[in-house]
Amino acid sequence: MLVLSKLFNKKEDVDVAPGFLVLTYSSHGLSIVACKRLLDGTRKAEVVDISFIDREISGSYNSEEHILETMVSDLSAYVKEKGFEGYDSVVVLSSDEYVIKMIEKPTAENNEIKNALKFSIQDFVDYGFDNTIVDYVDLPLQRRSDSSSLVFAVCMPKDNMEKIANIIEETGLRPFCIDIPEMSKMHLFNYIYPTESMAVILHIDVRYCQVMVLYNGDMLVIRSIDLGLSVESDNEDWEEVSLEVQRSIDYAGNIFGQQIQSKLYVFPTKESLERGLSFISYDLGIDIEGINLDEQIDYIEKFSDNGQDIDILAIGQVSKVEIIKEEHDAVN
Amino acid sequence: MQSINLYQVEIKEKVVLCLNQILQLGAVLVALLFLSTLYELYGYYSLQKEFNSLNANQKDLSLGLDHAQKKVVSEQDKKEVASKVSILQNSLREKEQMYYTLTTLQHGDEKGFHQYLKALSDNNIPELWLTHFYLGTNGSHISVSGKTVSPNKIPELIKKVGEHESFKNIVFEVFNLEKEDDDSGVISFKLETIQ
Repeated sequence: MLVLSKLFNKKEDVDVAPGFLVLTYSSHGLSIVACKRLLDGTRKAEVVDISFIDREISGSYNSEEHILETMVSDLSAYVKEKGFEGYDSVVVLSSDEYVIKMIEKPTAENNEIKNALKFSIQDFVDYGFDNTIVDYVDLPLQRRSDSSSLVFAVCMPKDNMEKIANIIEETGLRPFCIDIPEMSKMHLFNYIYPTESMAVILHIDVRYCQVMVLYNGDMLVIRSIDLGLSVESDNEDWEEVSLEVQRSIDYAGNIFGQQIQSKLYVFPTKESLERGLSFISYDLGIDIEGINLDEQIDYIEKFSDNGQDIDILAIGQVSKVEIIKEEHDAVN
Repeated sequence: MQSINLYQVEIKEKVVLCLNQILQLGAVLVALLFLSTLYELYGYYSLQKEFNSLNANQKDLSLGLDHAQKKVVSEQDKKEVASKVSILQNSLREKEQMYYTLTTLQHGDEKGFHQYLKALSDNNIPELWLTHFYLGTNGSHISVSGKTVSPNKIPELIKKVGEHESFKNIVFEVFNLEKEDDDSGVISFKLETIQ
């Protein structure tokens, strides 16, 4: 028995994949950022490829079908062609696949918090307790000491998670992480501005806008505006965005007692949006700083043709690995 | 740093064994196999010993069985014996009955003839005399014969005898009356109960 216990209690090295692929998708297609781990003994990785797979919708489009399913054959071919079999995968969900809510942190043991959050979040979802997967991030303490702690609880249907995992396995990749766009943007910002303690970020998408307030690298406020902005948007639309930014700043100040610097970070930067952003700057009396990934991320120009759009989320996930690596080095 | 991962499944870690570990594991298995074989052999030896012992016991029991079978009588003999026993039991019952009757007679038991004889002798009726009587066992059948010169004395006899305790429940149901042929005027009569 002693021999057997020695055999099986011996510590094995963690089975580390040679690299990972970050997958982000929308109705237009699938963005892939492939990273290969360096053989220097660290967990650091370098970007080796950025690709985009167009989504072709046939006449027999099935609304029940997951977007990834429609591109699984192309993704499999890509993985095989590039020799990425056995790589880990990090999937960034599309905005309609999950729910994120700021709620009170349950008073429970750490290993029971997720289960308690499942109950708390049932008011916002309709797929049942047993079919709910929950993760959460802690928020900074509120200004009032007698207030309870808050968390951002994120949940998605378990069957959807399993469906995504099965699709990933079908392509020859290994399911490793399923993340959300908000976290990708946060990681991306933290990578580009590692020393910024307080920031208000505006992300402009063709379908929606999102205002995020970060404090010491952690998410403090998330507000989504169901409004796509373009060159055709009128002042009324930009005024609405301006109002949401102001509300977010006020909320962070009231609840968390954090004073916001007079600067608004915006990405992606597009010339077509400059007029609107100038309107916000004038309306709120704050400076606007555009985040230009082409200038900030050295590998964007090398690989990507559309690095200002969907690739942002994938690059954010790559940045997370870099941040984790740097934190790991800092601790050691 | 805040981080979210919604891929939450129990991932079983693969147990990867190197060549050295495989050899060690093989050696342990061989050792276990060897010990198991030794144990099996010991078990076989024990069972063989027990088998021999049982064989010896079987032989002894076979001899004893043969001896016992010789002592056991055949079925035919059993039937003959049973028949003889039945005959002897019947004979015994008859002897016992006879013995009982004789003993009763000898000791003048109330259940014998004494009470009937006494009842008949207690009634002395002039011009009437008894010539013959028969008493069955315990008064099961009674027959009284006699003669008289006055036939009207016969009912007196029946009445007096009937008054006696022993004849209380006895009813004479046969009554024969016959005149003698010698012109002496004597009439024979017979009283009898039906069996």
